[in-house]
Order: sequence, then structure tokens, then C-alpha cells
Amino acid sequence: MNAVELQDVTVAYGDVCALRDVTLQFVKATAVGIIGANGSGKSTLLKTIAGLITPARGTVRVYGHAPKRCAAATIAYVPQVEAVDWSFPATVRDVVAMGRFAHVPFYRLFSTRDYALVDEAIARLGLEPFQHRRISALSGGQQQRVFLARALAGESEILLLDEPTTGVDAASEDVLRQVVRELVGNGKTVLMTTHDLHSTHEWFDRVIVVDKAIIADGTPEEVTALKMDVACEHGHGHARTIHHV
Amino acid sequence: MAMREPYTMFDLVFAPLHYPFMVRAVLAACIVGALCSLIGTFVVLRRISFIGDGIAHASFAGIVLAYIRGVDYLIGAAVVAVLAALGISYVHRRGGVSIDTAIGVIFTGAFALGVFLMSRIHSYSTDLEDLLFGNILGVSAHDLYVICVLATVVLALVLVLFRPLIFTSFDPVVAEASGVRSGLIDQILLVMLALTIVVSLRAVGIVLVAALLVTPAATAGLFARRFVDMLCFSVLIGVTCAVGGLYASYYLQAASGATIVLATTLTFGVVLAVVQIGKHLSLRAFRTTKAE
Repeated sequence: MNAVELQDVTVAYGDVCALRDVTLQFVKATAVGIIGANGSGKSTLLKTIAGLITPARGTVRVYGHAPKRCAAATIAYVPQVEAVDWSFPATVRDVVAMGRFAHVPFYRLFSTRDYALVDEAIARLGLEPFQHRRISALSGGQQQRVFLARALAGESEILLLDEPTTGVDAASEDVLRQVVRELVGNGKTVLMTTHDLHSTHEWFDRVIVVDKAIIADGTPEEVTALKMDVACEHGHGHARTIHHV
Repeated sequence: MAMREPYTMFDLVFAPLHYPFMVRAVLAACIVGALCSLIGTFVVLRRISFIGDGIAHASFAGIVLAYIRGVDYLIGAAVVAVLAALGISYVHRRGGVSIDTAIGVIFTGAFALGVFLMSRIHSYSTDLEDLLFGNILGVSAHDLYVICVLATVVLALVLVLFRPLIFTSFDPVVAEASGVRSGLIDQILLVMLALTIVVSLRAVGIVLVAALLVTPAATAGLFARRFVDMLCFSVLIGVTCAVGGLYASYYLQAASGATIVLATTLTFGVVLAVVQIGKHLSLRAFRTTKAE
């Protein structure tokens, strides 16, 4: 069974069409890069898979279920760091622990295993030195690592990362890439938006180019061959259809 | 019994408790102070403090309606407060109206309805004035009973929903994706907020209840590093100010609601000053060590 399936999905905001007739299958244990310019609908694609947006037409299935009907924490959505207010009174550890909330019913305290998973996630993203630091005192790269650590602690099957490399230092980017590859090695499915066209082959098994619809889909090498076309598109903002995939 | 020196601290605290109304007032102050500052922590972190003010004003219509129908004012206030809370949220989400506009429309409308109805009652009651500005010394045994029941309901809800409430306060979108029904949690928080306001009406009044929701939590937010710390300090400050303000109003023969609110405002000012001075000193120490 595919981890994620989209069938003829169309998403609209009011009368503006954000995505049109998207049909995609994502195989378990792959890392997929979703590439597109700002406003191309790539974040919309992630949010639709996460069940945060209901498509106007078409169906989304995550392990055969509608996203909202999946078991708790099947899907971990990792937003851009600007999505939250970092002045919230919490330490790094507090935020990572939120990843376990879906697994712990209200009448139960955190178990030893819950704490162990939080520790593990913090260690994996190199956050130990900051784990008791207040989140308002973190850099952009550290914030992004906190978000990914929270998703890791949740043991989700599907991870949806929205531009995790934007505004992140090179060291953090390396850590993020290693973690993504490890997740895939452990059978998780990672879908990640980016507008960075470099080094896609180091990150992904498959790359999709989005511009309101799917305009290219293939291995990183195949899509890199189209890179010039895509880059042109970015440069001039023209929608250009690429026929050969 | 031998005469004791008056004005010992012991007497200042315990002498007023000879009056049953004062015992009820102290109990009410503790509950109201704790509950407002507990819910207030979520209100402050979600930046919805004006919803609290709106719900309080809207509940006036319920109080007047209950008065006309001869029903307990707490029931009237509770029904209208919950309806106003859910109405504000509904108009905001479904009507595509911004939240401050939705509050503005519903709260003024309901408050005006209250004033309209009151102006048509010829047997005007001072009881209504108590509810506008608060009179904690007027808390009856029946009021106290209802306050206890409502407070228990709200507290139980907070305990059951504690983690989702924190999660959705910090990051509603991710909470939603992980399976938390953020929208439902928001609605439940609004209902808890409405019940908290109703519980507090007799003590601090419609006009001032928002202060008791916001100021203790805001004060704790000035220095607390973690959510749970903020919650605990907020409750501590809320209870201390409510009881302290009550005693101050007793001895100064001033309006209890206003005195309680002034106590919270004063606390906020003092804590703000201390935190600022602390920051200034640590910055200077940092510069000095750097210079050396």
C-alpha cells in the first residue's frame, strides 16, 4: 500500500485555484522533495496531505484513510518557524515533549519511554546544550531543529516538512539532512518543500516540481536535467509547462 | 476574656472573619482569584483578552433577563455568556469577520440589550449595580455554592484538557495535524472562559473582570520561563491580590472589585520594575566582565 495517495485533488482558496487535478502516489520509506516558487502551491500540497485543508475536489488517503481519520500522530506536520510565537514560555525540552502529547492520554503522566524518546530526539538534533534554554533565545536554525525534534519524538509515519532549510545555517542544514535520511532508513516517509535546487540528490529519492499543478516528477537526476527550465521560471515568474518527464 | 492589643497582624487578618459575610467573601476571593488567573494564563498566551471583556459585558443582558423573569442571576448570566462566547467564535469563523469586529458587534449588542431592558424596569435594583462594579461582600451562601460548582467544572475541564490546551495555545496547526481537534478545544476554552466570568461577576463585576483575567497572568508572564511556572505564579498572584484586595477594601471602606483590580495592577507595576532593573543590572555586569 502507498503511504500517501492523492487522486484528482483540486484545492481552492475562495475562487483562486491553488492546486489543480493533482494525482500522486508516495511509496513508504522515501524522501520526496517538493520544489516550486513562492505561491506555486507546494505548501498547500503539504497542508492538504496533513488534513489541514480540505480539497474542493478529489481524495487524499494516508495509509488508506482520510488524513483526519488516521490514528493520532500518524502525520507530523513541521511548519515554517515563523508559524508560531517563540515568546511562548517554554524550554526546548517542553516543545519537544509536545510531540508525545498525542500518545499520552490525559489520565496518564509521561512514562519512562516517553521521556526516553524526548531525550533521543533532542540528542539526535544536537540540542542537548540548549535543552533547558527558553525557546525565545534560539536562532532560526535551532528553532527548526526543535520543530524536527518534536516530530521525531512523536514517532509519526509521515513527516511533512515545510521549507525546513529556509534561513537555516549550514551546520543545522547538515543535521536536518542526516536526520531525513535516517528517517527514510527507518521506514518513514518524508515529504519536504524547498526552493533550493542544489544538492537535491543528497536529500531526496524523488523530486516533484509544482506550479499549481505537477509539472515535473522524477528522480533528482531526471529533474535536475530540467533545472535550467525551472530556474528560468523562477527568474521570470512565467508559468511554463514541461512536457518531458 | 482578657483584652488583647488591637492591630496585631493576627487581629487584622482574623477579626473581620467574625462576620459570616466576610468568611464567604474570603472564600469567594480565593476561588475567583485562582480560577480567573488559571484561565487567564491561556487567555493571555492566546491573545484573546478582549474576548473576556466582551463576554463579561454581554452577560449583562442575561442578568437583566434573569432579574425580569425572577430567575437566579447566575443562570441568566451563564446562559448568555456561553451563547455570546460561542456566537463570537461562530461569527468570526463562519462569517469571515475579524475576531475584534465580531467581539465588538456581539458584546455591544448584548450589553445594549441589557441596558435597554433595565431602563424599562421601573423597580430599579441596586443589585444590578453590584454586578456592574462588583461587591464581593454581597456574596450569599447560595452564590458561594454555585461558584464552587462552576469552579469545579472548569477545573476538571482544565485538568482533562491540559495538554491539548497547551499544545493548541503554542501551535494550533501542528496540534491539529497530529490529531487534536483544535477548533473544538478553542470552543471549550471559550465556554470555560464564559463560566469563569460568571463565577467572578459578583466579586469584581462586569466592567473589571477582564483585569482579573489578564493582569495576574501578564505579571507571571514577565518572568516565568516555562508554561507551568507561569500558570502557578499566575494563580498565586491572583489569589494573593484577590484576598489582599478584599482586606484592603474592608479596612479602607472602598469598593471591593476596584480594590482587588488595583492590587493586581500594583503587583504588575512592581514586578515589571523589578524585572527591568534586574535586566539592566545583568546587562551592566555582562558589559563589565567583557570590558575586563
